[in-house]
Amino acid sequence: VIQISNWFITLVLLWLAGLTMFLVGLTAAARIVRGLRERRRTRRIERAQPLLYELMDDEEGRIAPAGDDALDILVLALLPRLRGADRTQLCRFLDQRGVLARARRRLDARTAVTRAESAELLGGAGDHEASSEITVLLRDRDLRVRIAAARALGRLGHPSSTPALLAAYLDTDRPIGRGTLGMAILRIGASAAPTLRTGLESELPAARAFCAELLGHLGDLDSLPALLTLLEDEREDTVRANICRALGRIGSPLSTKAIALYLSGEHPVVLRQSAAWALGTISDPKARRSLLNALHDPDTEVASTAAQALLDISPNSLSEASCCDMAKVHADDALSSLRVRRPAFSGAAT
Amino acid sequence: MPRLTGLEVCTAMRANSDFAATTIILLTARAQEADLQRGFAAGANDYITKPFSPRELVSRVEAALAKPLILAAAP
Repeated sequence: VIQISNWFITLVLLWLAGLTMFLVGLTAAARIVRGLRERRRTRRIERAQPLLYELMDDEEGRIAPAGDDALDILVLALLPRLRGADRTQLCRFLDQRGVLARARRRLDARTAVTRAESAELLGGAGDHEASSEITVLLRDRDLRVRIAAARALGRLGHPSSTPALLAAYLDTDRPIGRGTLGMAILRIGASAAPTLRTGLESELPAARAFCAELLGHLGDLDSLPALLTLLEDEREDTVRANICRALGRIGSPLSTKAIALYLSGEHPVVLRQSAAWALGTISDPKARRSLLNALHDPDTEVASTAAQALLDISPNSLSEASCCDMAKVHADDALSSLRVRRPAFSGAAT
Repeated sequence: MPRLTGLEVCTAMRANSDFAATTIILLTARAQEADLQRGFAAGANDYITKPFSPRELVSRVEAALAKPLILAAAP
């Protein structure tokens, strides 16, 4: 019995060794085939390179080589970096080659990677026909597809996508990062502002905060009255902090008085610091008195931001801060920072 | 980014003497304070969270570029 078992074990070991050898061989062969295929692809792309430049000058649409996709690959890689006539020309080429129609069909492919790649491609090529199909993908079950759809809508840049992108921000079941959505909306640009202004009236604090933040980034002066009214009526501190920062980015001295109210001690740190930052960004001399008081803030970050804001208004603004030890420390700290940032002020006195 | 994260690239650049003095600004959607600390610990000069506007990016790049010049000129 023992002898049979030994034979059995030897056989199993031999079988395992054989299997291992086979798998190693298979992996090596696959790697070689992949390498060869990659090299062939690189050669095809190199050969197609001169055609790409001809293509951009080919206004009559004579170049439409069939079969070989090397030129498609080159065009798709170059497209996001182009603007104007060259871009239009290359998009027309992709359309003629059926690349865009194929990508539109693949938006509901079974694999998530294909759906995401198709959305990216259509967004990069500026295919407005696909806009509504891409919008549907904002609720795709796969996060990668949702991100690709948001980026594509941003690239397409049509203001009609803004409500869907805002709705996606509030969708907790199928979330997309606020950074991705924010960048997509900012890419749409000033034409997204009317929808964002409407969003300031939302019942949801998250929506109001997000819309305020984006309006600030857009520097939308038209939203100033709505933001000031909201700052007065708003009860959520995070929303108010975002409004202060947005007003700071817009930079109108009309908001100085309203923002300065939030420097006082009864408000939370996040709000006081946002207010100090905003006043520095606006750089309205009328905020000097409030900011000098804020140098005595019990929170170091707030006091330091106030010192920095005073320097943004004028390098001499800090001269009155020497009356208090801690205020002097923050003032000196802000001044050293300014010496690094702006050499012209290196002689400013505290 | 394939294979490496932005933080890993940042750390690798700081470890390489050719890129040790290169200014690095991290552009990221991670806005938590811990993420920010990790970014600076990896050797970044500045940290910008998304969403950001082109204006803001330009002013941060200008500030980052001015810094080494001023430090070099300082006595």
